[in-house]
Amino acid sequence: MLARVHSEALSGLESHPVAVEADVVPAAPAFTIVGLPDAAVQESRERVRTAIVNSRYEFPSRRITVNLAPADVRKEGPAFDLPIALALLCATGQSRCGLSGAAAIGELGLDGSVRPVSGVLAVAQSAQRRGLRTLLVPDANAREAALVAGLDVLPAATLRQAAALLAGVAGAAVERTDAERLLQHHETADADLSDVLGQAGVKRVLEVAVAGAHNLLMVGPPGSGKTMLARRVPSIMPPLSVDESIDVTRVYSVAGMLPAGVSLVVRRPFRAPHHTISAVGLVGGGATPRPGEVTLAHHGVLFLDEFPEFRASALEGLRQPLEDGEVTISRALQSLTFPARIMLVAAMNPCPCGFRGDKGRHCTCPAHRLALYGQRLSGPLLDRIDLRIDVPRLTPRDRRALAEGEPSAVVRARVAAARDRQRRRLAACGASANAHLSARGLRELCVLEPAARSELDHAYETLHLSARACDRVTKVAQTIADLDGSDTIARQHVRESLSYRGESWKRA
Amino acid sequence: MTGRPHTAGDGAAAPSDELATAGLRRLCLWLGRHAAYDRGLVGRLVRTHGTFAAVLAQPQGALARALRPHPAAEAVDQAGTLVTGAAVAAGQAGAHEAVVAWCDADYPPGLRELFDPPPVLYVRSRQWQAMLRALRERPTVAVVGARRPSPYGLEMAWLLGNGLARAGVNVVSGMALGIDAQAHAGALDTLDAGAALGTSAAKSGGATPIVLAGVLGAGVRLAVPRTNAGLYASLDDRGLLLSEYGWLLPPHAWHFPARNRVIAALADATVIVEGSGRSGALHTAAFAADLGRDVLAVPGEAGRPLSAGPHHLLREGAHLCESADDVLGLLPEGAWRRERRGAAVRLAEPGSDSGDPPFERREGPEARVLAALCRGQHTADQLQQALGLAPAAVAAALSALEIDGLLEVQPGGRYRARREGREAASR
Repeated sequence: MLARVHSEALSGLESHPVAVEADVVPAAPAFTIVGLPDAAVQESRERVRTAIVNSRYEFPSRRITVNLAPADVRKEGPAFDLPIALALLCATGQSRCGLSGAAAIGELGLDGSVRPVSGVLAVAQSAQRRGLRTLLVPDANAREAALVAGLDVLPAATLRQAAALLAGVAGAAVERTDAERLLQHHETADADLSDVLGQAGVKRVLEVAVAGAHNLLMVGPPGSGKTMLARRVPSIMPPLSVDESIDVTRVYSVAGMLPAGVSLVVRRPFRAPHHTISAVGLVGGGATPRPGEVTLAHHGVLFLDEFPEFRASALEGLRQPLEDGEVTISRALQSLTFPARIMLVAAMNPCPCGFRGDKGRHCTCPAHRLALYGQRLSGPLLDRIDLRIDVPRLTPRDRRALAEGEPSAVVRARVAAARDRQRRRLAACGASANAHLSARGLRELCVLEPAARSELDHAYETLHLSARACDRVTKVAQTIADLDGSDTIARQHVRESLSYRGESWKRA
Repeated sequence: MTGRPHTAGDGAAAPSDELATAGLRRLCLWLGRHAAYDRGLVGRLVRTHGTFAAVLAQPQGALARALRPHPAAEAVDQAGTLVTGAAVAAGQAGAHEAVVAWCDADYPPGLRELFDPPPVLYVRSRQWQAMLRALRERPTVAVVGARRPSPYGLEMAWLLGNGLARAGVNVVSGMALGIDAQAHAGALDTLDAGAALGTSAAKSGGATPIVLAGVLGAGVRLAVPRTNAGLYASLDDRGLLLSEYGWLLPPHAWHFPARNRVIAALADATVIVEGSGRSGALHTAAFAADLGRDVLAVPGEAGRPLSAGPHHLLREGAHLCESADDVLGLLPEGAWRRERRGAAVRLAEPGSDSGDPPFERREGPEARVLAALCRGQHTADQLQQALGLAPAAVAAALSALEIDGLLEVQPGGRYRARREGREAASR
């Protein structure tokens, strides 16, 4: 007898429908799964068999054939356990499929329990978009799936429950998860900007960077507080909107990094991969493409400490995501796009030994190593970093004299106001922040006062700026003007912007 | 002018003594060749025999017993002739080159005061005879210091080299990177400016030229370090290159401290600009002090590693050097000075601690930031705290000053007023 249960297969951040067909015929006992299953799917035979027996159903000692259609798409992971088991129960008449337009996903334990799987939110979203009405999910994933409006989410904790739900004899859909409420009831970040003593200049630059979504490079000796400052960048970013937090949650869910019991990521991501990371680890990829760190930092901060120590291939891979806000990974069988709208915060020492320009310590780097160090970062990559600043080390005396400075919430309010101004001005050209302005948008939407223009021309000559550097200075000046609540870019804004272009470390 | 060294310098000895002089000169050349390979050879001989003159009175065979055998030096010996030979230390002097022996009249007299003078000097210059004469006639000042100085050190070295040359003083240094090269660059700038104006300093004819001498730790035909190839070419053209290590002998670690004693002995006064506590510049200063010459040190910022050397010297009694004037004050009166009187400029302005002076055009935060910078180097944070300004205002003021060339940004996010800035602040 033949039975069919619908399921979903994940591919990148999207899912596509898979029909799980089971046929049981009286012949020599066998259990075959066809339809390009990978090792994890093949192993599901053992889990399904044991789960069915331990759920006090009868496992047929006949010839069982399970087909996963369409047969030309590779099927991966343990999420087909539940639909295969349900299809088998239907095929043997121990249950029936009473719901139309329903799909099931879930992993089975040997005792017949239904275990959580990754990527449930992504599955729920794309299934709902395709018109699916009901999704049967593991109990532990229910609240995550329930973020999607217009979809009935049925939670199952055991195979028996799942069979009852599929037959339509028991259970009700879970209540929809209220993302807005979740976002309101939490602290935005655990680290506050006021934890950092002094460094008022650097804090100002962080504010400018976040206000315009500019990428930032901090250059300073060890112990100058670069990492501490970078960790506090998310705390001054505007809180995640509902759509943004669902975007982030989807990525974390697919990556299997959503902690147990968490249905929604409510804080902006802060990712700080170690500098030994591979190019694939950083931008994503692999035989079956998985999101890399740039995607995990989507809508948040990607912090790269010891910037020049990263592999050249990894750093060059950052160019596309920094430019387009997404990563496209092409493999022989498929081409996938992951979102990667990040703010890059990079940090580096001024020289290999770290003490160049430091007041108290002597730099011991030979000249040729200094020259090499500066060359490790390519021009095209640096061009995508609008703000570069020196972070000097504070002496203990300096530190004692310092006040705490503003808490993050105060800075965040100013940032939010500046972002609002930008959104209104940039609505026409599709960019959401000054950093994403095209050269054309820059010409058309940024208004320099005459004094500001002449100051920029003057600087262009005396400071030997490149045309690209001029564009960066203008973009940052626009953000400073936005923070200032000014419609046009004044001379003062250009001047401040000029002092954040930080070329000093490149000079030998 | 020919650079052939076969005749002894202008009337070094009476014609009757010609044979004896030629013998003496040959001995000097022989000793010099071996001294380039045999570390401390001359010192050992002088300790045995009392004085260098007494060493030269010994027969060559007796001196040869003190030699440590060295294959290259022996090859030179076997080649036989005076200055031709297979090894790199010997070879014919080319155009604009000369070998000056201890017994020659051209030999710089200051070097004779050394305990272990170089037996010979290998010289390269377009007008080496006039240059060597100028070394005798004009006072000479050595400017030495760190190979990797701070921008402040670079500026001071440049200003000192420039000001000293402008006052008509010879400038000698070690051709190393950093302070040495910068002092030469400053002096060259004066020379070029003088050439453009057609002043006497640049005329190669009658007046004594001002010598920019570079003492090398390698063969005199080698531009070492390569980074300084441009400077080497300039000194080859308009200055004087000296070495006691032959024409093409590659540098050896022990050459450099030995070279420092030549620098100290050539100069009437030695100025140390920047250097750590174990800088080679301290050796030069110690040699100068041993010779009874003046030692000056340019003070640095307290607590910086590069200030350790000069401050150590100041503590030991070295003269304070804030500008070329401080050096000139120590030099003897003479014809050179009258010729140049008033030419030296006051370089460093005294601190402008007397509040914020009124600037033309420059007012508000910019003036206050500039005044604060004149009191020392600062980070943006320190300025912001000291002046009570907003970070944004400080950043804007710093940029405005940088655009106008009044300050410079140093690695590590420190800002420093340039000379133009200090002048503007004190105006």
